[in-house]
Amino acid sequence: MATNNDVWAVVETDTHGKPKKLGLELASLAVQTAAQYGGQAAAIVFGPREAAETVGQYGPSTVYYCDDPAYKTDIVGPASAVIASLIVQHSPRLVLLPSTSLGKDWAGRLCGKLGLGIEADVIELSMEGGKAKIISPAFNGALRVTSGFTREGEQTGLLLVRPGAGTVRRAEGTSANVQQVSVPAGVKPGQTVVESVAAQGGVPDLAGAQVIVAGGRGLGSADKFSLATDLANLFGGAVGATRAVVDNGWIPYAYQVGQTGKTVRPKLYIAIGISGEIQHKVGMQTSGTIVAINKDPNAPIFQFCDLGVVGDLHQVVPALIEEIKKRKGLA
Amino acid sequence: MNIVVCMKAVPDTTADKQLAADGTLDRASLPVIINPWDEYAIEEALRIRESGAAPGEIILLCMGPDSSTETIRKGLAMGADRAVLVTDPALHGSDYLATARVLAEALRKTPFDLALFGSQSTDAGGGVIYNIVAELLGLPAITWLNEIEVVGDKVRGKRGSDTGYDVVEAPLPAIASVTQTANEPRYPSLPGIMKAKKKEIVTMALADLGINANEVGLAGAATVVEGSQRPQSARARQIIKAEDPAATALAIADFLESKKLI
Ligand SMILES: Cc1cc2nc3c(=O)[nH]c(=O)nc-3n(C[C@H](O)[C@H](O)[C@H](O)COP(=O)(O)OP(=O)(O)OC[C@H]3O[C@@H](n4cnc5c(N)ncnc54)[C@H](O)[C@@H]3O)c2cc1C
Ligand SMILES: Nc1ncnc2c1ncn2[C@@H]1O[C@H](COP(=O)(O)O)[C@@H](O)[C@H]1O
Repeated sequence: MATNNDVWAVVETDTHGKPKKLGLELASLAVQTAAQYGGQAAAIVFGPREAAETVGQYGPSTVYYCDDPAYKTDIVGPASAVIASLIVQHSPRLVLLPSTSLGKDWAGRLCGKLGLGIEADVIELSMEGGKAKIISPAFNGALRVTSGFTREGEQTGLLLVRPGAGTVRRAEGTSANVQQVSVPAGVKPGQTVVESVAAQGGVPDLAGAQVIVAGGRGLGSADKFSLATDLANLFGGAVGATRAVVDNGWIPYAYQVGQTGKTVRPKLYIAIGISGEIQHKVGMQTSGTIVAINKDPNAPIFQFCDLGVVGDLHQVVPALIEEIKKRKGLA
Repeated sequence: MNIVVCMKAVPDTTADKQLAADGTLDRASLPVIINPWDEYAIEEALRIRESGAAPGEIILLCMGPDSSTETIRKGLAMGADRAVLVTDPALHGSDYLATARVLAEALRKTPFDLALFGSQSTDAGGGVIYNIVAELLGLPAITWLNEIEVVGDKVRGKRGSDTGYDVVEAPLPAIASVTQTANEPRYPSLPGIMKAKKKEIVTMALADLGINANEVGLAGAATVVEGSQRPQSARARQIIKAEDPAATALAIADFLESKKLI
């Protein structure tokens, strides 16, 4: 069954019902890629109609949205059934999904249902010679792999797209056709949520953060983690941590960056008291600018930073906080 | 009540410095380990059994080359009872769907109540296998768990959410995947290592699973790698020594301002 030239984006919404930033990046990337193929872009939004209308401002010609509460109780079954039935009806060429835990759950179900190929961890997408050219890191970022779909044009290709691959771009003077879709009948249970618990102080949006200040064991104690928090707050950014720090219980696991934690790509990543072991590096190496503060001149982090400061963080960071306050007119 | 743990043998992540000059990865030269996330899955399986919630066998399931045996032995030394290795030359280059089909067929032949997975494999893994397997077997899957327990005839766990965590649950039989949990994977004890030498590793080929060779491996793959490069390190790596804190702070702030980051 041949596909058309359309490129779709799947958009998650946050707890306030607003489209997530990664979703908007995907919508913009779908618009850009569809134009290269000479096709149309569409988006599938899980959330309220207002969220679909917001996504519409970024240029897709059609925005489907599903606000059936069923997709929140069973977070995988209904949503993947909705996406699958739209794919079967319309046969888009490519479908971009967020490279998040939920996006991966949906992609796996879609692959199992429809037998589609998946490209994971996509950091760049373009069309070259009529085919998708996909770049993703492999082996901990030691390699950049270029790949594509063997049956592109015959069957829909699924892409799990990381933050930063697309740039959010509002479209001028376009209007999207917003359509509600419902969950097909007879969906098998996927993953049922029996209780949702709010963490104290909430959970960081590391994927959406423009600035991340990450703290490592070098901070010395749970109390001193406040150095990272204070610096992050000045930038309106988020804090991250190494495994050593979360293992010590200085901050919850949700803040861990790295192989067994989150993969992030902020504009600015400030690493304080972090050695830069490979398992941490893989989670942050594609960040925009990396600044590292560490007292050991031989720390591995100095091999992959833009600015490295060799010194005692307990002296440098408080001074830096004061200096930035000054420049922001806060002191 | 049996638990199957799907484990993959992957190149040691700390050994990435052994890239060849042309940028390709010489897999043969790399030491192979249990995918770190799967070690957590093995640990949780052992703990579930120790809690008394799932008396029965713990079986490791691995698809990979013959050389995976050594890695499987480590999982057996941790305390798993036996293992199934699916190995076949035709599997080389299998994509996610093919891998999942193989694991699903092998699971059909290995009665289980709970199939546990790691949430991601470190060698270019997509974190998608277990949901494909779940879909192929028509089972629920609870995933990305940082805590897991079996309560009666259900498996339950905690999964990080935007606001904290969700408690997710599925009736057995079910699929589950774990991330790094609070329980560090145990080191095999010396007696554990000795016992593991005698534990059974059953090898299966594609024909045993009723899968055609042309549907898997490079031949059947829906995705293809066209090339790979070493990313050039474009980072400036400008290093300053902090003598005076205030002066250092100035230098950092100037740097950030020059990049329009303040
Ligand atoms: C399977 C596996 C998975 C892993 N996954 C992850 C992961 O997802 N994320 C992760 O982060 N790690 C992970 N790790 C752990 C990783 O290998 C490192 O152990 C960890 O990242 C180290 O954390 P750290 O940099 O905070 O601590 P350390 O390595 O102890 O480094 C502390 C640094 O602070 C510096 N320092 C100390 N005092 C000062 C001071 N006063 N001023 C300035 N600098 C100072 C020291 O010079 C040192 O470089 C994993 C490991 C394994 C085996
Ligand atoms: N070849 C394999 N053999 C056994 N289990 C596997 C294999 N590949 C993947 N898995 C399992 O699937 C999980 C997710 O893998 P992936 O989707 O490749 O990231 C891993 O953590 C393993 O539990």
